Amino acid sequence: MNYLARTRAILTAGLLCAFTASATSVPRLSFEELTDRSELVVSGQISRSWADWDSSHHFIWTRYELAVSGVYKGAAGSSVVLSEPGGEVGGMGQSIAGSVRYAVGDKVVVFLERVPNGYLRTTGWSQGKFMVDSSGRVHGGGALAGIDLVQTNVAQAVRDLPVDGIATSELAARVAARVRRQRKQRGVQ
Amino acid sequence: MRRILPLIFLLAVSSFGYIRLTTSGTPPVPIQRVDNTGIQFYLNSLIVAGATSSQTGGGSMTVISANSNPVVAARAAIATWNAVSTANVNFLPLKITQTPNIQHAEDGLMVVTIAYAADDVSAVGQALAFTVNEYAAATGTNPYVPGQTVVNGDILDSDILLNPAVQFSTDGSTSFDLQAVLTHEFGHALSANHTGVLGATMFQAPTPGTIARILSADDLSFVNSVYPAPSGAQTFGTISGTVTLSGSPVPYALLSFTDPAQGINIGGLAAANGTYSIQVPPGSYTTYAEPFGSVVQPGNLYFTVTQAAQTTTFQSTLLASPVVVAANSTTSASVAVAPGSTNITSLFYAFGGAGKTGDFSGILHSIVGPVLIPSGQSLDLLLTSPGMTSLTGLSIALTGKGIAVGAPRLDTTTLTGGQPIFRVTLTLASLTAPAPSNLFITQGSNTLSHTGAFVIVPPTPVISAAGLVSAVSDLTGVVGSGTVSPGEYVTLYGSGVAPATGPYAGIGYTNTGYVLGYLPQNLGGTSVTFNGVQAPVFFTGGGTQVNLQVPFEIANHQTAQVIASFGGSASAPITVPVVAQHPALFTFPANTNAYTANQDGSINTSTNAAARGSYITVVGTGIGLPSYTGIPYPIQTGGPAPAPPTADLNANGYTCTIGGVTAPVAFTGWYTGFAAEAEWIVQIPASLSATGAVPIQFSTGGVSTQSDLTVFIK
Repeated sequence: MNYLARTRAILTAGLLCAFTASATSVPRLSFEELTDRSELVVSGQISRSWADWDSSHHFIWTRYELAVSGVYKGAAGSSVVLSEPGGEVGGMGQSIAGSVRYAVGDKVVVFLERVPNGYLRTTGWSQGKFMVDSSGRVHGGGALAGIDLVQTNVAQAVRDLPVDGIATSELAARVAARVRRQRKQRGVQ
Repeated sequence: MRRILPLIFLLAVSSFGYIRLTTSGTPPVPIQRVDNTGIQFYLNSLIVAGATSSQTGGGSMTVISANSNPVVAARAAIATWNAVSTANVNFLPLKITQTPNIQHAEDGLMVVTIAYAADDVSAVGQALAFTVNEYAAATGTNPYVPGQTVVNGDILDSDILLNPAVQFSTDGSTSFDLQAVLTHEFGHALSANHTGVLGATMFQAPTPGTIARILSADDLSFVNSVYPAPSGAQTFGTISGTVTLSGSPVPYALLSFTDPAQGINIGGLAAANGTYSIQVPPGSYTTYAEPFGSVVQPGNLYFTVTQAAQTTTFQSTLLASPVVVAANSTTSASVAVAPGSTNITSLFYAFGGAGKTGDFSGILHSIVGPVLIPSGQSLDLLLTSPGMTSLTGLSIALTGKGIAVGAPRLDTTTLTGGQPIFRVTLTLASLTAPAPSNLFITQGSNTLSHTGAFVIVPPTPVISAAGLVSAVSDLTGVVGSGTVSPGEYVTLYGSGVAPATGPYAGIGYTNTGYVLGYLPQNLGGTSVTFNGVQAPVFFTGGGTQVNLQVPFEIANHQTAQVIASFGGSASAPITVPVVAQHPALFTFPANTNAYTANQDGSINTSTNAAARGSYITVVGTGIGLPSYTGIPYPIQTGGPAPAPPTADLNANGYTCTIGGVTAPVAFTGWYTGFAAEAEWIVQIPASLSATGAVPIQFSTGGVSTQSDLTVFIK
């Protein structure tokens, strides 16, 4: 094995080892996992929010209406309502560490999954929330920095850091590419 | 239904270094327990070893691994917070509830449970576990308790839900340690939010192994400051200042305060206007400000888009001199950060031999969570990053308790493209408790900081070659060592296996014990596993000794692999033979006398001998897993032995001789209500002629208690 090949093997092994550690909160999702788990990936702006109890009166959920400007996976109309646990209703509040928060006016790209009670919520807690800055670039909401994919060398690892600072169009293209790949795989199967 | 204002802000203002949960009102206020001196949690009866769930979307799966002890894990997690003597926090003894699920968040029944109903599973999402704190959102009357006044932010109810799609364990058989997870979640119940310090219990992810079972200085600072003890409380000083960039305030800068001498490492967050004010124990603090992005992202602290947009890039900036803080006084320490974004990114690390070169082991890791390093050794830390280019202008600092760092050197190995690997020699003094450290790299005008990146843990424990002996044989030197039986009370010897002065959990079941009702699996930072099953620990001390109960779960195993851990460091395993029974008698008052109670309950001594024909009770251990002729006997490792079935009182069919005469055994069994303690009740033969100190021995199936012990007969 030449030195280059050896180095590649080294980094791969090291990264795999690094991600076997346990966690006390939300498991890390790769970009591919984030896309695969999401029913809907859309961009837009938060237009209003409110809070109410779920049907079993177990949890308060804060609802956010998103005026949709782009659909990258799934089917969505002009607006979608996403829900996150926690909030205040009738003088009572619920605080849940790690719950994702949005504010009216926020421009975002959100990865949304359908949960068993039928609500759409941000996939992987804050990992599915990407904030869009004034120049149209997205910033990851919650994924820890680090290398999510097995890399071949350090230079490549630097290029493939988690999605952060890329243009919204590039993020959309990555989602589309992942969706196409998944469809192709299903077709083969 | 009332609408809430759209600005929902989960961050506390900058009053403290750790981050507290707040209301979502405007302005947000920290939430706080009002029942902090008597917090009653219930453990749902669903949470048992082998618990499964059908709410996973993929059919039933095991949520709690088969060899786990979730009751002990939950109680140990509670005990961890209760043990902070400088804080006014007291979780009441955990109770078990049959309540199948969280009923209503405001029902006042605070439950630890596995999410089951669709609404609960939906709320948990992909989190491993979560805590919901229900609080009063306004000052006034409690809407659920007429006549009771509440204050905005008062916590009225808390529930903890485990994700039914995650596999938890207490024996290391899965990636998610239940005790560590619950310690973290009980921290949330106390109103702690996640912290930016990687090695802390309240850091959200990822934490290797069981390290989150142990509270860090950051966690301690939270509980000490929010719930100070009413008297004799730890005193604090205050560090306050402003983080600025070119004279303008820097919103939401992360802050780090480290006193290496005391092993204190506290994280903080500046407010939107760049100011901060943090309470810390008196000391001398290495202080720096760092931007988001190296490991902690704005989303990790639940920033809104608006808040995230206010964060800015700058170079991690270290104050030139430590900040000295005295008790009950305030020290000003503003940080003028350097501009620009660092090019020291994508850092990789490895370890090598101290002072060596070219011994690159072949594995590089990226730092995504705290890395544990055993103390009491010297080793080289190897680092590489595209931004680390030359020894010129390079400095590498690792700030923490007992750490000395040598000058940077170049390794002879390079990566693809000739990228250099740098190394520094770390000399680590032996620690008795884990201590996070901060990595701070400077290359010219570029810097990189990783707060809490490396947790220095106690030295690697070593179990002595013949280090596992019957606790009884330790006293008498009669019973052979190196062989264990299920449920037996044994002593483990080694170096670095226990704290110098360890706590005593009490023998067996007691309502005043360290962990009520059950023995802890982690005592003073010490834990021991047998074939992966955590052993209940009675006593640790002297750095060299652990008294424990061998888990019943190893019954029918041929051998047991034993691993001792202390403060996050684990020993190499030793393997010992397992036998079904290993009976032995405790001794008192001398090492030649069986520990015996006469029929009237008094201790059998030379001046208080037992009469012929009377019954005596002899105490020992090692009777193994009791067999009661097909009658179930649900004894639990570490728990109080249940009463035996009345239909069969001589477990495992023991016989007895006293003075060479067969004595009828009326009872053999584990001592009801105690752990690891067995008793035999035998009638002294009326025909016995010997008096004074008369030999006594119990036997069954080819095994016997000591042959040289006596009981006093009159």
